[in-house]
Amino acid sequence: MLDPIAICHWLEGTSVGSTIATSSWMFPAIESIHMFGIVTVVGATSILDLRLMGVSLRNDQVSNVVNGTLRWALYGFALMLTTGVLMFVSEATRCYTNTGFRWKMLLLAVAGLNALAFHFSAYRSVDKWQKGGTPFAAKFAGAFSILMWFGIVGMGRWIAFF
Amino acid sequence: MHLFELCQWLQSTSWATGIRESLNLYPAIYTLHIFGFVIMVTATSVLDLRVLGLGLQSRSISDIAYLTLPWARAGLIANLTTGFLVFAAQAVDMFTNTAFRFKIAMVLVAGLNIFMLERAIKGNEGKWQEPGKTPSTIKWSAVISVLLWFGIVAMSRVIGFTGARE
Repeated sequence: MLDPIAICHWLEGTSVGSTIATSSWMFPAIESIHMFGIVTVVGATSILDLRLMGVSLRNDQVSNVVNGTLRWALYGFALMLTTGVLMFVSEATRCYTNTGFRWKMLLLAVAGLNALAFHFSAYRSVDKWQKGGTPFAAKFAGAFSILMWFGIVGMGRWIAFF
Repeated sequence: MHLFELCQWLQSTSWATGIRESLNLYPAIYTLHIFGFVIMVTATSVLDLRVLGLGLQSRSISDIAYLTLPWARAGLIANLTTGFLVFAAQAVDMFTNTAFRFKIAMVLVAGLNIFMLERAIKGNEGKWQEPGKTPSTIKWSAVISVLLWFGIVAMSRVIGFTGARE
């Protein structure tokens, strides 16, 4: 049987998990890099989101802003995911049973679905609204994305308090 | 009054006690502290990357500065206000924490750095337009800025493991 708690215990028992858990400096060091990654993701996506909302960079072509920000968002995401997995492995049971962590994962999934939905619907007609104002679907996707990402940052912080 | 006594007084005020003993207020303020930080660092980093020639080459540096600095200021205000409240709630522990002192030192240097960068940009409007024309001192300022932000985050995490309420 795949019991989540058993998997968590197994992860914590791996050499990676136990090395991080017993080290005095590794966890804060990994967490710092994790923060660096998440600031990069949230920063890059927020710039795009503000453009999609029509709040900022209105004179720039939407697809240019997408091309300029997506690369940074992916770099940041790779960093965030790698360090996030390392931290999770070192305290898997605590994370799995933590309300803040569960909210964070949920918001992360929703943010991903939002980005995918936007990419395969409203963004297909981007050539009609490259400059100036944006359609409602784009505004919604942008505002929703900002809410989700700041929620993810907030829940990340809240893991420590639950 | 000695600074230590000032911290003791600050921590004993009714509002600081209220924050410290709250269940949700302290995490909420802490979360807003990070929101402010993210906004501020994003804004200054966009400027730093432009200065370093790593992006947005079609825009002048002063263009980017006008675009990003209002966001940086808004983030800074949110960050400083909430940072002060979180500090006040545990002023004595923070005042005696080495990582906290390092962090504040880095914050001061980062603040001075961005202040000087802004002045240099405003004093040289219209110059440095083309790639490769950016003076190396300005580029160093951008490198220092990015490094300091990382150091500030790292110190915050160290504080979390050596003293602050988590």
